[in-house]
Amino acid sequence: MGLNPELTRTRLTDLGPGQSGTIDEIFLPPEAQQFLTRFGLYPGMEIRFSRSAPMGDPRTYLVDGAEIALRSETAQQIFVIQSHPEDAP
Amino acid sequence: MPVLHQISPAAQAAPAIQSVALIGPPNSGKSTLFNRLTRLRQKVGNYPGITIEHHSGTLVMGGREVSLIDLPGVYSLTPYSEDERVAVDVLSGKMAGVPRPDAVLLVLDATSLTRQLTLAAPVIAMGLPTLVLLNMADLFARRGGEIDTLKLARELGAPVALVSAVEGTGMEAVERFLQQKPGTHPPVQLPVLSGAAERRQWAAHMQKQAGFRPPLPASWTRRLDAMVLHKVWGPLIFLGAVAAVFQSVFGLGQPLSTAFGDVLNTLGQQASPLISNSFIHSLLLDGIWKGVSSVLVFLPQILLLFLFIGLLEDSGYLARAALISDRTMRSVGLNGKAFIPLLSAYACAVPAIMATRTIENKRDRFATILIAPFMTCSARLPIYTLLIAAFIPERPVVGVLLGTRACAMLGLYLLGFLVAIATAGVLKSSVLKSGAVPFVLELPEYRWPTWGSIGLRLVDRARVFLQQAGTVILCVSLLVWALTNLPLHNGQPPQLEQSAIGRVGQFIEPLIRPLGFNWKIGVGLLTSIVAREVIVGTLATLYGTAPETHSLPLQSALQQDLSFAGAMALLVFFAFAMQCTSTLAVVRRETNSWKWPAIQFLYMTALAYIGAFLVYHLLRMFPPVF
Repeated sequence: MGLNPELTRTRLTDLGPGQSGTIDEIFLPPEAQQFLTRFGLYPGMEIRFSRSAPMGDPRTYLVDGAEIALRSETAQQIFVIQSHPEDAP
Repeated sequence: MPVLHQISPAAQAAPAIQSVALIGPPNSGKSTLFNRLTRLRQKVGNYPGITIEHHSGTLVMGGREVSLIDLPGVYSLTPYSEDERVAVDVLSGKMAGVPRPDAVLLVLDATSLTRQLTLAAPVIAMGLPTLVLLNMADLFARRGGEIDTLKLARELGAPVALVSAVEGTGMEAVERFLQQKPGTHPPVQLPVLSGAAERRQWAAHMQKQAGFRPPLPASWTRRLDAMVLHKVWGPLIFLGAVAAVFQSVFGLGQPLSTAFGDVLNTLGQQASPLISNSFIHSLLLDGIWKGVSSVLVFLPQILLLFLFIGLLEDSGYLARAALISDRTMRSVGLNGKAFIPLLSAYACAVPAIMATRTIENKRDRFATILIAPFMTCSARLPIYTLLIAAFIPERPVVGVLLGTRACAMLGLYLLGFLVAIATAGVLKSSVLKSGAVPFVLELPEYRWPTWGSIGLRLVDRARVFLQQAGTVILCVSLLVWALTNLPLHNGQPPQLEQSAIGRVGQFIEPLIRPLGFNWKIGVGLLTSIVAREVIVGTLATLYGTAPETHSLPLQSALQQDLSFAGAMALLVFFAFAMQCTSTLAVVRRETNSWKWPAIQFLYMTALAYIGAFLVYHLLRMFPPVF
């Protein structure tokens, strides 16, 4: 419905298999944000959903050449601009 | 706008590079490179006044020795953390006792260069000649990554080389770099970057200039993960791996430990006739040798456990195990990385506590260290089996499958586990509450573990166990021996009752009578501070029976001297109490203070006392009918 249909802002937890996006904003305390930086989790970085742990949570994502697992409580606070919303299942 | 400034050429007229510092983010392969460069000629100590280890070594290149300082892994040089402060202080020559290095080797993981390159700006800006090493070049190339190192070097104003610390490629670049004279480094201009966002922008720009193409995710790791993290197969593989480790540690480790114990025993007996003086005989064999071997017998099991932890860690499976168990561990306030250490604690708390090093969050790590000794370790089994055999009649509970004795044993395992969980819950909601730092787990690529790396760790862990635990255990063994053999009675060692330790046992009897214990049990509790299973030998001596464990005479002697309620109270006491000098010594080493082992000892002893008290009185009020 926006001007640019390709720019959909969602929570990281909303990304599913095959979906990726660019980190837009992180709503976590500064200390937590600082920590996430170490793993390449900061605005501007590309991130791609990888898979879920057998019990559904944590989920893993590909960012900066590495695969990292985040609990949904953390991933929920990370907002991404989704790259190809038309690929959504 | 970034301000440009000129960097002064480093240290003036020194003849050639004498010392070089190694810096890089954690997991950049820095330690592997350090080991490769120094070929293990290294020293480990602590920086004065802080908990950070100081690694230094010597590397030989072109027939010349250069000293190498390994700095702690850091993500930036903004001195927020102790690690970063140490790095800044050493690089600027402000660290007491560490002369300023002549040059810097900056190690970055080429496969995650986007974020790792942000460290380059502040490090190069320190003004020392710097060689940038893009490590893991083998993986980087295999996964289709590309970078023009010459262009990157021009942008950074510092030489850049692709290396692989694991495979040992690219080391000639280090050699060439170290042959230069310190003053010959050309002055370069770099922007001064104040904020993290600016550094990231700068790094992104550098990458673009150097034609960086990020590597693709490792395809066979992803294929393997599809299986290992599968909804159905994942947990099954996980349980299979855990069962295999345990089966080996107990099935293989227990007999090995027994055999090793026999060897130690035989050695003692061989030496026995060589020592004529009875006093020295007793001191050396009964005091030192017996005490130290009672702890040494655990070495095979500990090493076996380390071998498996090492295999799990180096292959990359450990992170997957943490991912699978995170959901469960979270319910007690811990994270998935605590799972394997706690599991190891069922064999022995010593390797378990050392294995907590993989938990980066300090509070989670300390909580794990504090609850690990509640897990039923193998040193508790001798006293458990002795008391259960002596006091619990064998009756079927679930047909032929499960009897009363097996139930009692399982109950003790469960008891330790529940207390550990409860303790973790209390700690994590109070003193060790996690801050804002979220749980992030990196899933490394699967790799074949190398014998070199695992063997190295085994040697290191064995040395720590022998040195750290050995010195303390030696002292405690000597003390127990002295108390057992003094005061001399007509020049002869006294009967245990008249010995100092016997008197201490009698002295504390009023204190332990409410638990249903007599002074002999009290002496057993005192001697078993060396290691839990020592109580069996002590009781055998006190009751004048053959020293073999589970011996029938000892069982009947105990049956006459100890009530059923008292025996159950003693079991509970051993389930909770911190009767292990090695664990205390290792906790001290890992937390670098006596504070935590002291708290742990007091807490566990208090819990043991209260638990035993309650069990004794409850069982006296409501005696069970078998």
